[in-house]
Amino acid sequence: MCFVACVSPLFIQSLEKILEGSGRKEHVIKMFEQRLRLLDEHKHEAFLRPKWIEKLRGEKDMYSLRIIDKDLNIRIPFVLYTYQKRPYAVLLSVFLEKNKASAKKYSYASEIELIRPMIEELEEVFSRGIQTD
Amino acid sequence: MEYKLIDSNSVLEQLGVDEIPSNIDMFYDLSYQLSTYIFDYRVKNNLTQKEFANMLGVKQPMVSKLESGNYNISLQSICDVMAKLNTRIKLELEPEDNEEDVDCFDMSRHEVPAANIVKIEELGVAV
Repeated sequence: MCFVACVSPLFIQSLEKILEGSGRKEHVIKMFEQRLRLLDEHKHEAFLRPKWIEKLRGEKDMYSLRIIDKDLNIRIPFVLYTYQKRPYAVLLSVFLEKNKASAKKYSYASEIELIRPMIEELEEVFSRGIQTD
Repeated sequence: MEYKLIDSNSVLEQLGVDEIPSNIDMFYDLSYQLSTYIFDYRVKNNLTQKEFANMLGVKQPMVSKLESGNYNISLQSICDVMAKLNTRIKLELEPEDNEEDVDCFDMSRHEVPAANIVKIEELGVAV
């Protein structure tokens, strides 16, 4: 999968912490993999599947992976960039929605405030070149 | 902060996707294929979940479950749905390489097949 990338090591550390506390680590990893696969295989058409991927209201080119499993409600905000004519979905962070009701109200405000400096830096990084594996 | 971007395969490897038991691994891989096929079919034919449910002879929440990617549908039910979509599922069975995963058979006495891939073939009749 080359379409999707993430900021390391921040993202992995945050996701591992949630996975360890979930009691459903293996299931959640596979659900995460399903969404990555959808993004990779369907590219922009993946956004037609809002139960898995949602567009964040009021945020340009900003989306979120949704993983809902029993009591877990995981959100993974990401942004889209074009670099050397190739699109990239860059996963920025991961957090838990407290409950389904709050998720419906798009309560991303506090999380977006936390990752906004990262987005601004990434825009600069993409404009001057990135390091990838 | 110095950013380093890694691809999603590397992320999954670091999370331990290769250590997931094959029964869970297979369930989600098959669920992905089935749910994505059903979702794509509905969207390509410009149907709402309710319209699609009517076509399948089920309730709308069942369509939502089918598209969820983690619904444990019965074999008979999925055959019923695919028949309505004029689609045939082919199950391909092949032994896995890792013999350590098989603990209920004596491999020296039995050749053990393991379910692995579902192929979905659309038979060409549109909604």
